[in-house]
Amino acid sequence: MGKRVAIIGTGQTNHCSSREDVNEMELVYEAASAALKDAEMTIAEIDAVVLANMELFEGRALPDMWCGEGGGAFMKHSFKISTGGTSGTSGAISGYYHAASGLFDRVMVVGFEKHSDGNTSAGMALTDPFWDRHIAAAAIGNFALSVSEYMVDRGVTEEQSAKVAVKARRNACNNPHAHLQMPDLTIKDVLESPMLAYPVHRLEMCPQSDGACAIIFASEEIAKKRCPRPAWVRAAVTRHDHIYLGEVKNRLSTMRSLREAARVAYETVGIKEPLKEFDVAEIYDPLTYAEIAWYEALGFCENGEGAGMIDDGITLMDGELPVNPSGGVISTNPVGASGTIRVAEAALQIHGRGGKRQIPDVNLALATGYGVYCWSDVVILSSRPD
Amino acid sequence: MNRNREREELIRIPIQMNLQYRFPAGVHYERFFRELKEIGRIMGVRCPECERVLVPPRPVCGECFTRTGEWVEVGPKGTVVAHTSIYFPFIDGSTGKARPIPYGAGLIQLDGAYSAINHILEEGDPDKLHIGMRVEAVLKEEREGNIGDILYFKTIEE
Amino acid sequence: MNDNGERMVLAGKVDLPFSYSAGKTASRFFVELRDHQRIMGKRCPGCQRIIVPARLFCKECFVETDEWVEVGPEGTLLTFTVVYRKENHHPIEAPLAYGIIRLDGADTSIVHLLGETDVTKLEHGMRVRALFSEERKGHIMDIECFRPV
Repeated sequence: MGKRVAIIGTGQTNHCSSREDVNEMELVYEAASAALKDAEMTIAEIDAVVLANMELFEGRALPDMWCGEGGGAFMKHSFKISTGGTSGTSGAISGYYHAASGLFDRVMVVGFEKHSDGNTSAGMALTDPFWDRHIAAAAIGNFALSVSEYMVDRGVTEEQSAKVAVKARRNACNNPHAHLQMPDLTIKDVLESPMLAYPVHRLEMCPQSDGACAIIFASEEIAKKRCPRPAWVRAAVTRHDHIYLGEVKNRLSTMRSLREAARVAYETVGIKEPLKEFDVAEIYDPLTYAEIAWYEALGFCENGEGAGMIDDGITLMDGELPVNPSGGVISTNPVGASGTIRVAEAALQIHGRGGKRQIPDVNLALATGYGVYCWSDVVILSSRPD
Repeated sequence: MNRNREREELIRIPIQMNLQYRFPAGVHYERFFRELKEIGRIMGVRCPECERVLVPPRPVCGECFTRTGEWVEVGPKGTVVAHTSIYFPFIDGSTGKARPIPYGAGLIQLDGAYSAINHILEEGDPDKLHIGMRVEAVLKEEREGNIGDILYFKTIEE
Repeated sequence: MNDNGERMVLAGKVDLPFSYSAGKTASRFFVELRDHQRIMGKRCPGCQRIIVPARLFCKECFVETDEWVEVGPEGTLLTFTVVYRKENHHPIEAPLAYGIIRLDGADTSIVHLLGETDVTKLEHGMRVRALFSEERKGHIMDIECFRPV
């Protein structure tokens, strides 16, 4: 590990389906300003800015240049990260590396996406031209392929999947930034929602949101001075597996990149029993079945027991390991920001700034990122520097 | 939910982008498509280290980081390892028209291949699809040298 | 390789529709062009610059701009170029000229077309004036071009 680094502030916009009152740069400005306020810092103090965005969706090349000003990147050291769904977490990890190198003391990371400026077909029309485009199954169709394998392999039922959606959208009601807040959502509602691609119903899938999220990383000395309870970065791991779906057998069951990233991260921190040791987890759940699969990949339970965890309420707000008190990606999904939101939500739990979604006594938090199809990031935060 | 109630007019600028592209296929894809077009057979390559037959064929095996070797015919029959039925009328890129919904799509492990390819399944009814079912590639009469030369995979009894 | 010795290439076309929200600030800028033929900037309370086109915040001070200020319609042509070969993306026939114009009252400049003149006789420092389009719809092209005064 490099030098000690902690997250001292976070900021988010109120994510929703369409922010007509701001353009993309202004959306970034909102989140960046909110994070600076949270950290009680000025832009002048920031040494470096990392921007994360999947520019494909807005059809706007060089988003770091067009939107970087909103992130305070003007005349500062600045990079852009664009790695699909993991953009947000990879961006956060990149921000961490900047500070951990010892070369930068205060680094701001802003993940952002303005889906309403583009459209779904934009993103998925530009998949591999030789093998994927003709099917035009889009993210949903390709996910559904993996879900059908997973259901057969693990025996997960539709009802269990629907429970995950209910948990997510109800949790979202405690989060003022969340997009889809549905306090009265039932399993029946979920299973009766339109079928997108068998067996996935609309309400089991994440939305597309306009939103931005910013995080401020600080080196040890500054973190100790400026934050009453810093969220120390204890592990930050990235792993990429195959990009072509046919290469990976039983993707959700095996999810090699997540298992491996988690293994390395847990080893770095010395975690042996993640279910017991973590106080909260913000995991990247693009759809309900994925969340169940990630419980297994992250070692919260044995293979085959993921669905049982949701049945037993282990991951509810008052369960043994609350998963996604924020509502998760299933409730809020501005792609470039979704990963950053996971890290921010994990951090603010340690900060004690979770408001109605605060889990009591959080000392160890997990954040993960996911990207089409097999890219994974794992970040571990702690109230202790070591 | 739009939380932003503005009495002022908010403008959106519509821009239509028409992008043209030209992707060189490279030696491996080119042979795959040429064999598909001219001979009507599906080819993979074997990695000399792990010995897996990879489809689509490629110059390097990603996991072993070794140059691939022997060309091997695979299929045209195969096994469905994953399937879905799509209820969205997506536009078929090759015809410009929407496919009738629901249409089936799947991951098909062709006989002899290690990896699966994703393609259209003729059967769209989810109740008639299951993992492990046998299918066979149906090729176009007049082929162009792209993945659409395989029209779809039809269900077969085996 | 095919029979002509050419390598295989997959060619095609993708049509993608986008719809960019201007945001509150730029929307007002465009509405002023469309309805009042006025060009508006905003003042930064930090550095006091009048920023044109109007922006929500000043990138140098990182604070929100406050006051709306009308600028132009005349200004100074800081620099220009003439395009002699029309490509697909050019809005009008060649020869066409672009310029960077510092409108009176503004501290930043805008890029726009220069027209209603012999583009081969443009000069740095020329005074120019905005010519508004007959039909305006809330778009930067509601200004048809800038022409020498």
